[in-house]
Amino acid sequence: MNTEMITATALVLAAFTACGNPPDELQARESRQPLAQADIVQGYLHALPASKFVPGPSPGQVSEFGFQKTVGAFGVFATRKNGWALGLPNADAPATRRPPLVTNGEDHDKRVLSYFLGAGLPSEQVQRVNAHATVGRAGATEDLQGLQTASPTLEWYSSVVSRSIQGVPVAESFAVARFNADDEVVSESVFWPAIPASVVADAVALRAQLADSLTGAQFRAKLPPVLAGEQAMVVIHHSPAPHDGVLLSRASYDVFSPGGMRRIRHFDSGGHELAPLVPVPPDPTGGKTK
Amino acid sequence: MRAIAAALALASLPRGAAANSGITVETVNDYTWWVPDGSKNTICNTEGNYFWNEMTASGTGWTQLVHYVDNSVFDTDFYDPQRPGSLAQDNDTNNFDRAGNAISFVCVHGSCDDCTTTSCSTGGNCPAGQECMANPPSAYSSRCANLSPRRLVTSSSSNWHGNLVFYGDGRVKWGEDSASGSWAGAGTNGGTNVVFLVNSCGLRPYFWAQQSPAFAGAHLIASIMPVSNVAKGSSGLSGCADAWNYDYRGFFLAAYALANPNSSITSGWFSNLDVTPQAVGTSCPDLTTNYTYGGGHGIGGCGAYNVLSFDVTQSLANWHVDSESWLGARFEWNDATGNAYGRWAAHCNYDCYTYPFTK
Repeated sequence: MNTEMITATALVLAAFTACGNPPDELQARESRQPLAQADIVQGYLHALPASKFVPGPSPGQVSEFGFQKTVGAFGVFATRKNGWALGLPNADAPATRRPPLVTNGEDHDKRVLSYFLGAGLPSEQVQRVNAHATVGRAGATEDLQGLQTASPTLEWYSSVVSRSIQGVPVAESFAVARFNADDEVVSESVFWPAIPASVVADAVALRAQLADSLTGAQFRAKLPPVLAGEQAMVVIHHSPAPHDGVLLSRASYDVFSPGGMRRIRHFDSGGHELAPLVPVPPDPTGGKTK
Repeated sequence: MRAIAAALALASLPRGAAANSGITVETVNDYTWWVPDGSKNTICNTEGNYFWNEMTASGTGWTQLVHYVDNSVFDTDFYDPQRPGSLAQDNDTNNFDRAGNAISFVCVHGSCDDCTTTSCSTGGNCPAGQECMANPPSAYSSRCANLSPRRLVTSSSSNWHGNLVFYGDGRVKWGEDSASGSWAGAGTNGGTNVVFLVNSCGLRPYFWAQQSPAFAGAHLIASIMPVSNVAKGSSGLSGCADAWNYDYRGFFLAAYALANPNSSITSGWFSNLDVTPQAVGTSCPDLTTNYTYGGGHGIGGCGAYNVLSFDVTQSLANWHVDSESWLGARFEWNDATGNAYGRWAAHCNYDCYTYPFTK
């Protein structure tokens, strides 16, 4: 395998330790100090030599929009400096025209997991694999009822490998691939950065805090009343794959907010609500009136 | 030949050919017009702002056209003024469906009042006009869903339709212009080519008629299609799958468009589901944090990201869904010139081939 496991050099980009005086120990940890190997939980860096994605003939190198791209006749293998790697076929690429590898999700899951583990994904960090089917149908509009009742056709599967460390989900990490009947990777996307060990320790401590009947009750009493009884879990978060800044990470207690168009609300170990890990872009100025 | 057209780089655009590069974003966080205490507010603006900023950054070739949030998002922005029953104030012409627009993105509330509390084991248990929504093995029985009008819910002091946009009622028409012609009876004063709808219960299988009336030249409508409705709890909403907000949905969508502009719009939308954390949304089908059968990824319960297209031939309708690229979305010659044939595809957060949508 030609897989590159994340090295100390890469960690300068991918993982950072605490500095300054954060208001809470679970606030996002931002620093430009590289971590020693013992201070991080290793990640996985997917690279073209280990990939079964085929950009196609006459590949060239292009750097644009934050991506370093290998652009071939059939598609693009792109990476960002934070380690996100993705293979995207052109809309008319031959690989997209082939049937799916299998006709059930479990077998596709096995193939995708085998592929990534073989390339170097840390097996102990695999939380689960879920198959996502794509189905579809076509027909005359006047026969719209036929479109409704006819059984859809299986078009392809993707399988998503989710990540956990010491049993704590790492929400923004993923390894996704779609295989076709020729055992080609039609598309893929991998972001599995190194995580500071201190953040993992925070998460484990928070989980223990919640599991204890006394401290757990004390913690939950601090949450907004509207969240009482809602489902929740301890999660490790890091900045999302498209984010180009330094990798930010933290542990939080995530609560599913009630109501329509639900979302997740994040709390630190003190029960304080956390702002988004990456500052949100501002709303447009101005507007219109009737 | 539209397939060839989509593969052309913009640099080789034939003389006289029309190309749209405009991006339109309309999103609402602030729902205090409806619920003053703010308890129904969303994070839709974050979704839209990321999409806007990334897509229209310097050098991308996409241009800023319309960007409104909160009180500036009027219900009239989405209604076509030429349609029978429309109001004089209806004005998609200068808002969501403006000439020069290529992609329109909206993120607002919707309504899941299509979920009923009627339990079912087959479609025969459901009244006419309803389907029995199926799901992977569950602790709960299934329930029926109703073919009822789907909507966008805005929250503005400037409203003429009660802050509700029923996009399947025939007064909403998107994409009509000189290239598409006026076959949809909406004139030729539109312009958008691809629409992304992010709202609650925006579509339910197999009710394509909930969206099909909105086509008037648009190439594609991409939306979130919750599927399951299980008998969990006593209200119609308690077991009903639904879209969830995710801060970075627009961020990822733009990233896929820019990583390979020749990749298909459909694949970019479907990949968006895969890279959204599973924990953004409850499990399929029982709405817990046990994801054995999948779920989450931007949807609570079992659901899918869907794309729908109509055109004058089957091959063209298929082409929009299967092969139209982000660059193809710019070309007016790819406009749908009729709606005789349809094509849909859905990428699920579970194995919806093994466990079909309805029973």
